[in-house]
Amino acid sequence: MIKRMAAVLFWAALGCGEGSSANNDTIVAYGRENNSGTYMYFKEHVLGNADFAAEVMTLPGTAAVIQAVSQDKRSIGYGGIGYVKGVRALKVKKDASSPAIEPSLENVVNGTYPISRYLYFYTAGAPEGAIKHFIDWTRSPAGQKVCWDVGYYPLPEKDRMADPGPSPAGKATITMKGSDTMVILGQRWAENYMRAHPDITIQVTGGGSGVGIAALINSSTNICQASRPMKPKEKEQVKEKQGKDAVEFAVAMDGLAVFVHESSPLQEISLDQLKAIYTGKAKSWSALAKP
Amino acid sequence: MGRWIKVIAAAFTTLTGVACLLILVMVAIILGDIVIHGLPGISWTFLSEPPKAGMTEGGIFPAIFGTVLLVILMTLAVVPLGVAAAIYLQEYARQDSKLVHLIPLALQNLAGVPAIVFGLFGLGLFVEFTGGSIDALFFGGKLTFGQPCIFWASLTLAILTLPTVVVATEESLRAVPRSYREAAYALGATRWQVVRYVVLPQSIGGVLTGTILAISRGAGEVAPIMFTGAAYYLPHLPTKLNDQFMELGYHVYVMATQSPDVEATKPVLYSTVFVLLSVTFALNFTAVLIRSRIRRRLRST
Amino acid sequence: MQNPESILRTGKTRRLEALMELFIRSSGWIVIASVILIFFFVGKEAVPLLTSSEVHKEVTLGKMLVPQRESGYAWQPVSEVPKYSLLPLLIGTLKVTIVALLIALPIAVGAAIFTSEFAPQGVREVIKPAVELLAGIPSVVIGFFALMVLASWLQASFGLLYRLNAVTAGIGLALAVIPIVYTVSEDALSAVPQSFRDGSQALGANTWQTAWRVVLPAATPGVFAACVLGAGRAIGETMIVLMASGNAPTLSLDPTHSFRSFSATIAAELGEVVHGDPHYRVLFFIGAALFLITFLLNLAGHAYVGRLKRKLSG
Repeated sequence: MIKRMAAVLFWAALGCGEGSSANNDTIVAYGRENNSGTYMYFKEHVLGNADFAAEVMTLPGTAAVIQAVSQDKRSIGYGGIGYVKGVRALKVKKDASSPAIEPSLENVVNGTYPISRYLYFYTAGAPEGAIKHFIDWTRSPAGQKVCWDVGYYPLPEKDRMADPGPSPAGKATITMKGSDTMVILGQRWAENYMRAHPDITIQVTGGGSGVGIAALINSSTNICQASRPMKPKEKEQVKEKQGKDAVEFAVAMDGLAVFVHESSPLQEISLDQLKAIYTGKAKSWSALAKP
Repeated sequence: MGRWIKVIAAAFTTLTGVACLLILVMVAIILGDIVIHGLPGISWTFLSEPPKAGMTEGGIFPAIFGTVLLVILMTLAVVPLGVAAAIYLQEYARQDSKLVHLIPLALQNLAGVPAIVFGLFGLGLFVEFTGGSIDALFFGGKLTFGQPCIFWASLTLAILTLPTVVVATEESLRAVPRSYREAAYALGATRWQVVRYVVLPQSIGGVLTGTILAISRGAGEVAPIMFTGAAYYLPHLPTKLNDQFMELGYHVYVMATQSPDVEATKPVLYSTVFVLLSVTFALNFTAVLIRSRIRRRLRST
Repeated sequence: MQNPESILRTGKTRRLEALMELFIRSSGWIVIASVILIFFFVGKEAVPLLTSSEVHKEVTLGKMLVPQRESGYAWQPVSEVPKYSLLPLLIGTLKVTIVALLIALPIAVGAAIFTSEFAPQGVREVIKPAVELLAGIPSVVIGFFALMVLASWLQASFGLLYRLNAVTAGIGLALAVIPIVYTVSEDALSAVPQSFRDGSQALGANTWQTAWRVVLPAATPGVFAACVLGAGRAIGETMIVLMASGNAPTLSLDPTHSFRSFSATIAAELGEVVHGDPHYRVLFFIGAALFLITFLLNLAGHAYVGRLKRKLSG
């Protein structure tokens, strides 16, 4: 009530009452902050590297995006599939003529769902001993099962590994650091792995992909977890500081779901339409429907 | 004419009264909303267990632990420095020196620096510069202190809360009657002895007020620790000075924006906010009580 | 019996005493130094923006201030061609600050007048603790409240196009600004000597005439200082804006549209930026600018408080 009064006073003062006559047809687009792996992925693979429109609201996390979309009939957002609740995920078409694909486990893993990405481990130089064993294990059936449990998707068949067998003898400690998106996944992996291989201790910390990469550059972590590929400049820094190349391992998949309010009539969307929305070319739902 | 004055008088008084009422109502709405949604989730399990199932279940123990550790470290840094600065201003400095005029000015400005700038400062001075130098000198370049951690976060907060401690201490130093000091000097005590045995024991309440207010402020600040040590989720409690940590305020921010399942997190989120608010309010309340006692004494002397 | 001199002056205590005196004397300098250090270390990281040719390949001060041929004024730091125009952020910061002040100043100053001039003692004892409570709420909690409760509420009541906008964030910000403005103005009003009021009423003025014509003009510098200090707080506040603004770097002046502020930009982008990157430099540059702006506002605010004190005592 007070807030209402205050806001009314405010608009009266500025002489603009248009807030209350907001157009129901306008698209309200939500996205992620510009340093998140999700942002980078979406920009590269959906926008074809074009810039996001300034009007796209960027929120600091997928939860915030979902919360916003679930409350607004006119809105659209995107985020990790594992998060989708309280909003409706759309089927996605590669182009206008191709079939609309549901963001399901099967479609992400067999590669037909058009917007899915890898999650990565990075090491400085090729890993050896316990570290190699652990990375191989995460890509084996036992490790891949964990992805599914925490809301991510396993790797496609071709990228998986066979079970690496018994761990190398002797005690070892492995440190993992990086992406906040992956910290819960990493923690589950660590728990399951340590149960099967009690000689090896794994420590997992988050902080963000950037923090993990910085730690890898400074050799304060064995493994860096990243939800985005390393940038060339960062790879150079690893090489420069450690004299070893950064080695990349795809360890899991994350599908990006595109979602709208539950009451929205929209069922499917093409990548071109998404691009039009997020680059600011399509500003209304009715304009989007036209070819 | 007379009637108009009465009307205007009534309107003016009413408007200012409404302003007061608005403040009361806002406070009531926020607190009411948080208590109604937050209180039911509070239980011993909630306070004593780590988060589970992607923060939708379990408790917030690591965040409470991290917050407590953070403010203890902060207190160890800020209280000696703040009390010393207040003593310097009140007991040592010559009142006509330029420095004495600069210090309150510096304190006022320090109190007005945006929290996020403290975050940048902590990253630049402590993490990158000091931490980086320590690593280069003592750890052969191995990344040890040159990374965000609880030690640097607590030092950043110590600078942020410095004005709070100095101002509260100064006020209570001023409340110590001049005659006490004069009596002590007359007995041949040195300046340090006067401070140590006469002035400080008399003003311990002010030091306490400042400390409590600083803790309450430090426990709720998020922006300064975002880049200097707070972490999203940690499987282990911090045990070393260069460990990262979870913190209540940051936990609220993380759950409100990054949790995997918004609806499922909501009860936990509200309860965390409830705990954070209870802690800061309890601290503030204690500080207000102590301060009002000091002020009463100040008035009576 | 021992001589008291000898109890108090053993060599050990003398050394301790000298050490403590040194610490106390240096602490004054540490306070001053920390303000300088803040500016130095935040500024230091921003300096390559002005000097390094490596950084200049991507961004220069000119590019941040002047419209670019292709992009105009755009804040798009993660892009093939990164764009760092500060104008959208400046507009966003000003927009939310103005909204917050328009809400906070009348409420806080009005409440301060009411408590110091009209309110009976009992009411005073309710309102002051309430303001202290409000001041004690951490900004992340206000941000949370604005994001989860206030935003839905405002959108439902007004059918706003954007859930997160300058009104939502501005109201949240106002909650953080009110305690400062209230406390400083209330101090200023109470500092007006009782004799002013007695004199005014002896001449036949009623309470509101006294408040409006005598007390308020006498306390004006203090109330003005309160507003300046409130503005300083509003410009620098981070968590509320980060959570409730929507963070879209638009050029829109409409308060019901989403916006992006300086402080929220730093908080949102610094976490994952490559250290030493041009982008990193730009964020520190913004930090240094924020420091300078709030520094000047604080200086001005406290200068006015000083003037009030001189005015009332002289």
